[in-house]
This record gives sequence, C-alpha cells and structure tokens, in this order.
Amino acid sequence: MFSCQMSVGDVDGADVTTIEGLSPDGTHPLQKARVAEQVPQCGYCQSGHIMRAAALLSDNPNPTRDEIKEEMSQNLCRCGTYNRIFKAVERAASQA
Amino acid sequence: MTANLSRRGFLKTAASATAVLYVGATADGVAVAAGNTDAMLNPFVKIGSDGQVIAMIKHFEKGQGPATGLSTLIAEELGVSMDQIGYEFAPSNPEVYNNLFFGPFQGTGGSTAMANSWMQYRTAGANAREMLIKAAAEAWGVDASGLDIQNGMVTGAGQSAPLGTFVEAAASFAPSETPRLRDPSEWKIIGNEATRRLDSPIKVNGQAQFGMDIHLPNQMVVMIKRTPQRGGLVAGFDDSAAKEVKGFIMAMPLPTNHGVAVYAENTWAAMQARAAIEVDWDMSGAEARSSAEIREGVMAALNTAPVYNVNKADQAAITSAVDASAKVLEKTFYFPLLAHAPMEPMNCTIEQTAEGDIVLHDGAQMPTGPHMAFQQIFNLPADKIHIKTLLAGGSFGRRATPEADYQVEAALAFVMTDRSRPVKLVWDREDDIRGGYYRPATGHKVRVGLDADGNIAAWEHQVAGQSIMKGTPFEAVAVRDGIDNSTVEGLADNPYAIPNMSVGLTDTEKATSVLWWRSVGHTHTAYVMEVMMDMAAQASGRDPLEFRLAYLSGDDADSQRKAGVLKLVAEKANWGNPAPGNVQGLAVHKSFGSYVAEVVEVSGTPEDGIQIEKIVAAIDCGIAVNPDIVRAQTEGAIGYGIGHAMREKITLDGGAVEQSNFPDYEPLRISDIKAIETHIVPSAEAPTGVGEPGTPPAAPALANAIARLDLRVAELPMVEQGVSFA
Ligand code: FES
Repeated sequence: MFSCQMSVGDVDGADVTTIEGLSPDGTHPLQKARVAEQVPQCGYCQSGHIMRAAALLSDNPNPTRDEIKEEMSQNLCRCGTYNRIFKAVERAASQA
Repeated sequence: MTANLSRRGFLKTAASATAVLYVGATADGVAVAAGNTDAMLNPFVKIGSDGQVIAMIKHFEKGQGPATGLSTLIAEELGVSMDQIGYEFAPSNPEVYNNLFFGPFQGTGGSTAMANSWMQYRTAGANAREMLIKAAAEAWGVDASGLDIQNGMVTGAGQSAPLGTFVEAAASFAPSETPRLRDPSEWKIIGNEATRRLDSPIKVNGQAQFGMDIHLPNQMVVMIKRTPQRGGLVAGFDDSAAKEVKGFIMAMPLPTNHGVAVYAENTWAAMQARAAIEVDWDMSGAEARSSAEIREGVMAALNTAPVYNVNKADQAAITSAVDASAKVLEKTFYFPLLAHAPMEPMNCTIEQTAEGDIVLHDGAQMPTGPHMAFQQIFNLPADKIHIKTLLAGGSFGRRATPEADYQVEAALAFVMTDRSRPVKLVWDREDDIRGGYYRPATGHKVRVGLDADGNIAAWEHQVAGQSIMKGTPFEAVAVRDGIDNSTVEGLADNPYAIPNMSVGLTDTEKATSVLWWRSVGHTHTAYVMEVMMDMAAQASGRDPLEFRLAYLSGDDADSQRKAGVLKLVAEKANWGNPAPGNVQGLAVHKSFGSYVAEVVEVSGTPEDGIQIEKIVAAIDCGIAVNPDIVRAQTEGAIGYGIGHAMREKITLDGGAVEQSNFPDYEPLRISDIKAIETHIVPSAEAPTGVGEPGTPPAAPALANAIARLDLRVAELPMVEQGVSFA
C-alpha cells in the first residue's frame, strides 16, 4: 500500500504498520540487511522501499530476482540504490 | 553508546560529565583552541569526561557520506572505534567551518567534502589524542611517547584507562601546531571494508529527520502559487475561493511579486487553497521561448565563429590541419535542459526566538548563502541568525543556488507575518520540476582530423551553451576572461595528449534558470569527448581501449591514473569478450580530481529494446576513506547519468515547463540496469571527489555500446533518437 494513495478512512479498523513499527529496535531482517549492504544514501525513499519489501517477503519468503524486480519496481530511488536493494532483499530473505 | 547522538542528548550527558574537551582546527588543519568552557564554541571534536566523542560535521549529508567519512578521520586519529563516536552537523559559521576550497564560505559541492577536510579533521583528531596522552602521562608520571589511544583506552607503560579520565586535565593544555598524524600503516578504520555508515540505522527505522519532517508547535505551512513561465510577475490575484478552504489563513504576493504566498494550517490546506487562487500574471518579462527555439539558438551559435578561444589555440591553423587530414570525422551534439529532481522537494522552516533571533531549519547545502541573505532580509547581525542543518533527501546540486532561492522565499513569506508562528515553506514535486533550476541546454560541434595511420592529427571543438556562473555572485571567481569554465571543463584540460586541439565557446541566452547539475559541465563534455574518441577508434579500425591508451602514454600522474582506471575496468569487465549476443561500450573521464572508467554491456537492439546487462566501473579517487561508500556513490552516480541519458529531458512550451512529476520525467528504475559493480584503484594519494565523477562516463559508455549496433546517438535523451529500452 502507498500511504499517499490511501485515505485514512479506507483503513478504518485495520492494523497499519509503518516504518516506525516494523520492529521495536531496528532489528527486522530487512533493516539489518539494509545497514549491512549500505543501501541508504540520502535515505528519503528508504522507508517506502523497506515496507514494500516487507510486504513482498511476508507473501513470498524466497522471491527470485525477477520477483524482487517486479515488486520493487513500483518504488523509485533518485540516489540509485537499486543494485543494493536487490542484495538487501536477498540477504534478508536468506536470514529471515 | 549509540552511534547517533542528538545535540540535546550530548549536552545533557556532558552536563553530568565533569568536563568536556573541545578541539578546533584552522584552515591549515592546525588546532586553534581547546578548552573545557564555552569559550570554544565551534569545535571539530568534542570529548566528554564520560568518554562521549562527537565529530562536528561541517558538510551537509545528502547521502554522499560526509557524516561517516569525517567521523572516520576523527575516530582514526583519536583512537576510538566507529561505535564509540557520534556526529552532529556543525552550525553555520564560515570563519570556522568554511569549505577550504571555497574561501570564506561554508558549503558542500563539487565533490569536495572529503578532499577539503582530509587534513583538517585528521589534525583535530590527532591533537585531541596528543592532549589526552599528555594528561595521562602526567597523571601516571610516565613518558608520553610510550602511550597511545586504542578503542577509547589510553594505554602504555603498564597502565590503561578510558580516555574520558583525562579530559579535564587535557582541556587545560594548548594544542600542538604539528600533532603527529598516524601513519597509514596504523590505520584501522580508514580504508576498512567493514566500516558501515553511521547514518544507516536512523534511515531504516523512521528516525531520520529531514527538513520535510519538521513540525514546530503552532507552525504555518506556506506554499507558493508560482508563475507558469519563469520571470512572470503577480499583477493581481483573487483568493475568494481559497477562503472556503478549511485551514486557509491568508494569501499575499511575495515582495518580489514572483508568486503568491499561501498560508495555511497544514500542507493539505495550503495545496487546496493554492489551487483555488486565481492570479493575473504580468508575463512581459517572462521566459516565452519553446525548447525548439532554445535548440535553434544553440545550433546557430555553433554555426558561427566562437566568441571565446578557450585554450588560446591558433584556431585558423587547426581548422586548416583538420581540413588537410586524410579523414575528417564531424559530429554535432545537443543536450537538453534537465531537472535535478531530488526525492525530497525543497522546503525549510523559519522561526523567531523570544530574543528576536532567527532560526532556519534546513537541509542546508550552502549555509553561508541563506545566512548572508537573512542578515539583509531581517536586518540582523550574523550571530543572531542560526541555521540548524538537517538531513537532505538528495540534491544533485539543486539545494545550492547562488541566490539561496527557497530559503529567501521562506524568509520573505515569514517577514510578511507578525512572526509569532513559525513558517514552514513546502514545495511539492510539481513546483520543483516546473519552477526550479535546470542543467543548461548545450551543444557541441566537433571536427576531428585523422592522419593516414588513423592517429588524431587535429581536433576542432566548439561549445555553445548557457553560462551557469555569469550573473551570479560566483561570476567573479568562476569566470576568467569571459570564459565560464563550468561550460567547457573536461575538454582542453582533458588528460588525453591530443595534438592540435582548439576549444571555442559561445554563450547563448539563458533559458529559464540554469544551475550546476551533478558533475556540471562534465555531464556533456565527457559525452562528447568519449563519443568522438570512440568514433576515431572505429574509423581507424582500432580497439577503443588501445586507442585511448595511446593518448595516455605520458609518464605524468594524470595520464598514468587515467590509463590505470582504463586497464582495471578492461580487466574486470572482460573487455572485448562480452557474453554471446551482447556488445560493450567504453568511456573514461577525469572530474573533481578523480578518474573513472566504465564499461557498459548491453543486449538487444535499438529497434526491439536495449537491456543494460552489466556496468563495470573503476575509480581512482586517491585514498578511499570508506571503500563501500565510494562504491555506493559510484553506482548511484552511474545510475543518475544513465537514467537521464535514456529518457529524461525538460522541455518548454511558450516558456512553460511541460513536465511536472515522475510520470513525465521518468527516473531510472530498478529494472533498467541488471548488474553494476565498482572497483577501486589502490592509492596513497590524498582523497579526491566521489559524489560526481561516476556520472560523466556513464552516458557515453552506453552510447558507445549502442554504436556497436550501428546507431550513433549524438543528442539526448536516447529514446528520442531511435533507441528503445527493454
Ligand atoms: S536513497 Fe535517496 S532517493 Fe533513495
């Protein structure tokens, strides 16, 4: 879900997880993988990418490279961290 | 101790600590002052008696890594590990925190953050180490020469204690003018592959604070209703419909009349109200040209004699030499306007304190710019204006305008209020794409003469484009004899030993507003140089790598280092042996003191779709302080160059920008490049630029690969020149 395309009314009664709630201490496998792979540059896009990847991994714990590309291509990164986004999702999948 | 300490967190702890050691540094890297009182207000490193170490970062962080890199220099020299050091962004103070390459000006740009700070931060860290060691030696009654600090412990002569133990005593010593810098053989952190960025944890858990995250109590949000054509002025406006919008406060023309400031309780209300306001624009002085007209102006300039003789060559003789050559290659190139489009659009927040001081919260790339402008706008001395630097969501040059455009806009909006409420200025993406600043539209015309053996006999090169520096406060330093070097950098000063080269320049009229864009003039000069070198190699039936190396055979460092990255990239990319069905393209360029070579390997055809299979880069940037940040920056810089070359451009229709957001200014996507890798040339030279040098060779390397499929692209973006991408 993109938070910018969803009105608050549409999630009435639902549980919503944002980047702040992904883990209590930044130790979700995707967060650890992003630090290890040094993915963030400016960081502005990263919350969106991480939440999209978290959704992908919860549906598909072992995605192929094409599946990662398919899912993650919905998000943009102007700093060009794409190469490392692949690596971080793969690392997180292997360690989850 | 966590890696990232807020200022408040530090002060609180420091207050409970018995003393703090502050160490500063001058432009020469000499420590100027130390002490345990507030007399030393602008240090480079602060060390609490509880052992907390804070590096003060004089450069802003847009992802290029100075928070980590400059902290690394302090940690290495002082003798603490990276999890024993935190950082804070330095306040605005050009006397202390100036960019040593910019004169008395604090700012980040030109890939200089590490290069200008290298000795300064090491010296500050070394001084802190020596003062702490001296204090320990006195306390223990031993000779200082036998002591060192490692992992935060002062150790030697059979003793060991945390460095904080000696902070109070150390703070009474005068710093040394020539502290001993650690020998590279002692380095544990500099050059260490395992060193991770200090700012990653907060960028993956939502804690990172960007300018856009600022939400001060009682703040108003201001958005500007902008002129669709640059230079239009407000002649009148009607906000009656905006008054129906819940949360709308007021609307007033900016004192400059460049737009109407719309004040609201929140961003949504400001957007709604802005849309409801009708403005009557005076377009008499506004940009009215179309992109086609701008292009015609550039082409017309290329077809007349250049105004400036950039390298003082005998132009007539070189023209004759080209004419007399066995073979003449001629090509005309054109590069469109481009937007920077950082992920976080422009914004900043201004408040006034009870004492009447002005505080700017901003991802400030060049704090001295708004600091000087605010002194005039608010009629206040420099010390009554404070800039709190926040993380910035990208820039690529955009956050540093000579006129401090968006900060001044916010200040003008703020002075029109009673100043009781903070004002947060917010641009949306459409403001940024339509009303921002652009890479200048530029053209090149090149004629290369080859002799009968296929060697370059003469090279006639002409550039026409819009000067970035003329008409700005930077003109005095950046323009010499009428020549704006940022339009022609990378041509006559190229390390290639090209015989009989002339470079001419003609400025064309500025279209809308132009600004440095990641790697500035090199964005187009590298493209032209490297495509022409490739054409020359092709025309003489020689391998593009061998052909280039032939012009880099000198034993000077420039030739050697440029040849070095070529050889490394050729080896790593398996140059000349692409996977079956693929073709390769090569390009190399020096910019910002660093050398980068790239091989792009593609599959497919221009008709059915090109897929970039792999990009391999080699960089020589001197000592790689953090090798993995060097690689990450090079990858990002390559993606930036490739994405724009593929399909991006800003076009004008009747002076108005036609693009508005990412659907029609489509950035690089994850599917565009299948694999990318960077190799670093080992070096003992001082560090040079990293943020930009990866960009210039990227587009020509792609173009040179596509040329192997019989399509020579001389105008960008590629999608408009018969290239489709898979
Ligand atoms: S890290 Fe800057 S936009 Fe992705």
